[in-house]
Order: sequence, then C-alpha cells, then structure tokens
Amino acid sequence: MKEYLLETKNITKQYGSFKAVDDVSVHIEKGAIYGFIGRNGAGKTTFLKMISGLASKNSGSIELFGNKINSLSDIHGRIGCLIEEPGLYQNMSAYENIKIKCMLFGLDKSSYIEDLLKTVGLDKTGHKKVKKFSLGMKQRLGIALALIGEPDLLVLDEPINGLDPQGIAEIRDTILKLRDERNMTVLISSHILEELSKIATDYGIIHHGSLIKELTKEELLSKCNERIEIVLDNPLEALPVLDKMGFNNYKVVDSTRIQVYERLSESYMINRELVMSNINVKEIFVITEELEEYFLNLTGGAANV
Amino acid sequence: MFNMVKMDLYRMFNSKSLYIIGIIMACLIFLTTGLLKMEFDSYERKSDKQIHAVNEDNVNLGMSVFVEPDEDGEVTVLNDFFANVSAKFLALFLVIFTVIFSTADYTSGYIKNIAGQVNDRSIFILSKAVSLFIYTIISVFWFLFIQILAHLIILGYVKLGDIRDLVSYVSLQILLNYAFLIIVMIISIILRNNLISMIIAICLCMNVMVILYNAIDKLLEKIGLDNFTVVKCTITGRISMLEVGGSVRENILSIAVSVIFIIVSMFIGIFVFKKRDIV
Repeated sequence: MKEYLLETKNITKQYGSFKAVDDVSVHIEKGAIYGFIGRNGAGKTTFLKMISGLASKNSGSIELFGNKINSLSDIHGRIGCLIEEPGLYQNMSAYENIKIKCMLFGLDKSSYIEDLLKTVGLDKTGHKKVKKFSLGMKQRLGIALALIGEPDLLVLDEPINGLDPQGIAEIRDTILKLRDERNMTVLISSHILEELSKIATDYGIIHHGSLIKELTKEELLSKCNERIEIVLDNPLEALPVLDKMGFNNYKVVDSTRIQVYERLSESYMINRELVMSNINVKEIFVITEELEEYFLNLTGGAANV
Repeated sequence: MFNMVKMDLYRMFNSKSLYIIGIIMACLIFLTTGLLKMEFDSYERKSDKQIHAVNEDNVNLGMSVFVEPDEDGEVTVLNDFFANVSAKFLALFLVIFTVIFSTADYTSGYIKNIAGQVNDRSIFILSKAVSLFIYTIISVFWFLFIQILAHLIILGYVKLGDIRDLVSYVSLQILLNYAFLIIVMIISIILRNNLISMIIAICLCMNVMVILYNAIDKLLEKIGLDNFTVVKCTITGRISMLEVGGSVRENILSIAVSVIFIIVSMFIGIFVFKKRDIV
C-alpha cells in the first residue's frame, strides 16, 4: 500500500446549496509535484484553501502523513501556501515581508531570511520595496513566504497566472530547485496544462467541484498518445458508417473533422468503408493529442471554456 | 502568542501611518494651542468659568473642544488634555490608526500567508489587542508630551495641574480609549472594509450614536425607567463624561463599562474570526 504525504477523503465545501468542492479525494506522495488542473471556477482554490487551513470543510477528512487532521489548527506549520496572488505589504521590502512571518515562527535570524531570498532568487533585490517588484518577483516572494518554517507540503495556487514567459520559466525553475534541493512536495494548481506538464509528476483533474481523474505523468502521456483524425466535407454523413463499424469512442470536433479515439490501427478500414459509402475523405491520419486538448476533452470540450 | 505580538508590533512600528498620524496629531495640538492662545489674548476671561464638565444631557453630535483656565487664568495641561480627550479629539486619531492597523493584513492579503499556520486563530485577535494597548499608551503619552511642548512654546509656561488628578484621569482615559479601540478593531475585522469601518469609527467619535441612545432613553422612559440613560453605559459616553477628580463611583463605573465592552467585543471578534474562512 502506498504511503501518502497528503490524502483527502471525500472532502466537500458547500456554500448554501452550491457545492464548490464535492467529494474530492486526492493522493499526494512525498516528493511529488502534484498538478491540480481545472478551469477557472472549477473549485481549485477552494480545495487548496481547505488543504492550507484557510477554509473549513463541510465533510470529509484530510490526512497528513497518515494522521487525520481534525481541525484547522492541526495543520499548523506543516503546509506552506501561496493562494491566488501573493499577499504582501507593498510598502515594505521583501526582507521585511519575510521577517514578519519569520517572527511568528521565531526564525527571524538575518541569515535565515537571506537564505530564503537566495532560494527564490531575490537575494539581490531583497531590500527593494515590494511595490516596485514585477509580478514574477512577487510570486517568488510569495513562495519564499510559504517556505518559512520548512513545511512538508508547498501549496501553490496558479503561481504562473499573468506572468510573461520569462516569469513562468523563473517560477518553474524555483519549483524544480525546491524539489531537487529540499525534496519538497508541491501541490500546484493551474488551468494551463501544457506548463504544468513540464514539472508535474502526478495530476488531479477537477471539474465543477469534482475530481474527475487522478493520474501519474506516465498515465497522462499514454492517454494523450494517439487518435485517428478524419477530415471530410460533411462529418455527419460519416457517423452511420462509423456506427456500423462498431466505433463508439469518436467525436465530431468541427464542421470538417471527426476524431476517433479507439482501434487506431484500423484507420485504413475506416477510409475504405467511407469511400465505399460514397463519402469523400480529404484526409485521414493518426496523430498525437496535445495535453491541453486531452484536458479539454475530459472537461467537456473547448466550447465550454 | 509572544511571537505573534512581536510580529504585530514590528508591523505596527514599520507602518508609515503610525508616524503620519502621530505627526498630524502633533501639528494639530500645536495649532489648537495656538488658537487657544489667540482666543485667550482676544477676550477677557470671565470669572464664572468652570471646567466644562460634560454630562448625559450635553453629549451632543459633532466635536467641540472647550478649554477652561484655572483660578490664575492660566491653562493647565490637565485642563487642555481633559478638553481634547473628552471631545474625542484624541480618539479620532487613535481610531483612524486602529482601522488601518487592524485591516492591514486583510487588505494586503498577508493574512493568507499565516492564518493556516497558527495553532489557534484567536491569537490573531489577542495579539492585535495587546498591540493596540501598547499603541494607546504610547499615543496618550505622545499626546501629553506634545501638549506640554506646545504649552511651553506657544503659551510660554507649563502648568500640569493637580498631579494626582492628572494621573487618575489619564489612566482612566487610557482604559476607556483602549476599550473604544477594541470595539473599532472588532468592527474592522468583522467588516473587512477600511472605508466603512473608518466611517463608523469617525461617526462614533462624532457622537452619532447619541441619536440612537436618546431614542432608547425615550423608549425606556415610556416603560417607566426614568432614571436610566444609555449614554452613561457606553464607551463613547464615558469618555465624554469622565470628570477630572470625579467620584469613586463614577470611576468604577468607567472601569466596569470598559472591561465589559473589551470582553464582549473580544469574544465576538474571536468567535467570528475562528468561524470564518480566510478569503
């Protein structure tokens, strides 16, 4: 049986009759970078707030190292978080912002603060006022704040939101550095699967408050492997043919394309049957699906974005 | 808890607003002392003037400061302090800072960095309360210091007044003003809105609640409670009505009202803060 650093069992958060998070069970192994994927409003932030002790749950349980967390207070110090945009005192320097939280932990030695700034690459700008920081620098400072007290789990909510490519790369490097140097377990949420796929080792996909899939990087890559793409004038004409051939897992993606997700070696047979039914096939080929597309398919298609 | 207080005090002493409010307060003390001198120079003093004691019948809307001279026709620091504090001139500055300080961690979002990592959320409220107690003491003494300085520079003399009365009055006003700040702090924490909290706090300083208190008094009168006045049992009322060298009974009442308001406000604040999600 696998041992998890963090495990949630059917946790639910309800606001009136609306379930923001519905029966979510995630399993995060030590040392993993767990990508928590979902569209905007899927319930990611609410879930992460419950994990981080910022919000209470209506039902379910959270276990950290196999120990059940019964109240918010039990989480004390074990989970560092950066939820939504970083909460910082704009008129203070990065050093002072870190010092404030360090005081709470009784860790306000100058060397400790300098180390944290170095870890997130802000050692040269630590005494600059935060209001003069770029968003990327603020995010990294937020990560430094989350690292105070050496938490077992680092929770990052959409840390790359609104960042330029350089900022995204800096955050990615910081997370990888934390994993490599501190063996840090990271739970990171995003709606940009492509970016997450560069660092995550495991994934949880949340949609409308429910966890619809939990899979490893290998599983995800295999899921995203291949499909048959058919390009033709009128896809609707082809559907009876596919049905007759026993294909069930296919989708009309637009006015000229059908995607078939099963029996990928039978593309030639599809082609033959369509031609025999007097349907003009412009193109038919097997391709690899992009991660982003896989995610969209799982959560109801691009039309719902 | 000690670490949290240390953290809050660091935050307090590193916030610009503390110093800006302190400087504005000092400037206005000098200004009002200057105006006082001009007024005393312009008009003949009337012999029948007494310290302008406020009672439940003349706690009015708005803010007005009356300074009375002593028998020698000079203004003592005690009289000046009494006039400013009972008119809630001091409280006005204190509540502005209290709102800024109490909501700073919410408005900046910094609370998200720490709220999940403490054993018991009630220490957030308790720590702020301790910090505000220190702030109240510092502010009252800053106010007194500036007032003494203003008397020395503008009036050309410093007469403290009866030291025993001064110590007693200052101590009681520290307690009453502190209780007032606790109420304002809890309002700010519950509302999580700087502007609305600030408006409420300033309105309280301007005795806006007197309208409500009078209505309640009238209602009580109708049901046969003729001698009861609500304003006497409120913090803002006690700040206005506390007399220099007042009776022991009145002083005890001031202490009791302060303690009750502090305990009740803290209880409500802790209850709400513990129940509420951090957003």
